[in-house]
Amino acid sequence: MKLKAFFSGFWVFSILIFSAVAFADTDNVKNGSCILVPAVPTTGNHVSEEADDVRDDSAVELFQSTAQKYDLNPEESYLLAKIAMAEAEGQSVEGKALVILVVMNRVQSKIFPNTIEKVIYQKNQFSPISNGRFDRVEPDQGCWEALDLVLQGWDESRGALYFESKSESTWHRDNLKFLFKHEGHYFYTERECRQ
Amino acid sequence: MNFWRTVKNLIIIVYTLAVTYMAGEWAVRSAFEERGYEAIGGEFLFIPVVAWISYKAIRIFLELLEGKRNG
Repeated sequence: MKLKAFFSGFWVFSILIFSAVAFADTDNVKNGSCILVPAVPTTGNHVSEEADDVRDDSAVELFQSTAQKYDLNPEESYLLAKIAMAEAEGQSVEGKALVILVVMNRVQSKIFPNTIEKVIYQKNQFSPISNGRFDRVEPDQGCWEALDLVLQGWDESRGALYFESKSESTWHRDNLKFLFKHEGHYFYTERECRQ
Repeated sequence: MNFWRTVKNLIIIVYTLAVTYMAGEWAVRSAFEERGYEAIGGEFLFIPVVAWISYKAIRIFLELLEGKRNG
């Protein structure tokens, strides 16, 4: 009787602990796709959840198109197509191209590494890198079309350096300047033009 | 006796809901991270399974404590 109660109690306790640990781990996941580099808090725009494609015109002067400045070798092209697949598999070609453009904007920025490989593999930035999804996916036709689109000069990123999927985390909207929403991704840049 | 039954049921409900919520949240978030986009998939089958397992575990434990089960 006592032994059974002990083992039963052990199971009850274990189930509770496992679920609590798993739940605590979701807080890390909730932070979204790309994060960090502490931003200087100032007043700025916040995400409007209702609007499907909201744009902030005041951000226009903060950037210039980066896509045509970069000659890609085959390995870099593959990495860009792959990150587009990992981050935006269910999205349109434009959605994938925007992910690629965020990487390329970061390469041009002073606050991020200066190669595509280093930007993609930078610690704690893109969640598919940390959770292993990046290694499992292979780019589809849409990813290559997105890369072609970017290389042809298409740039609707408005200089975005960050994006996140819809989440309960408020880190991005609290610390960054919201630019626009495209499909499931919210795009941001630094509030002060440090790039 | 009724008081103990009420407390027991309350413990079962709170424990089951807590475990199910935490495990369900983890499953949904993990599935989203794995896919890269939002969808409804097998993770939602995981939730009733967790609910059932946690319900049985806490109920058996409380009944053993109560002495209703042979041990």
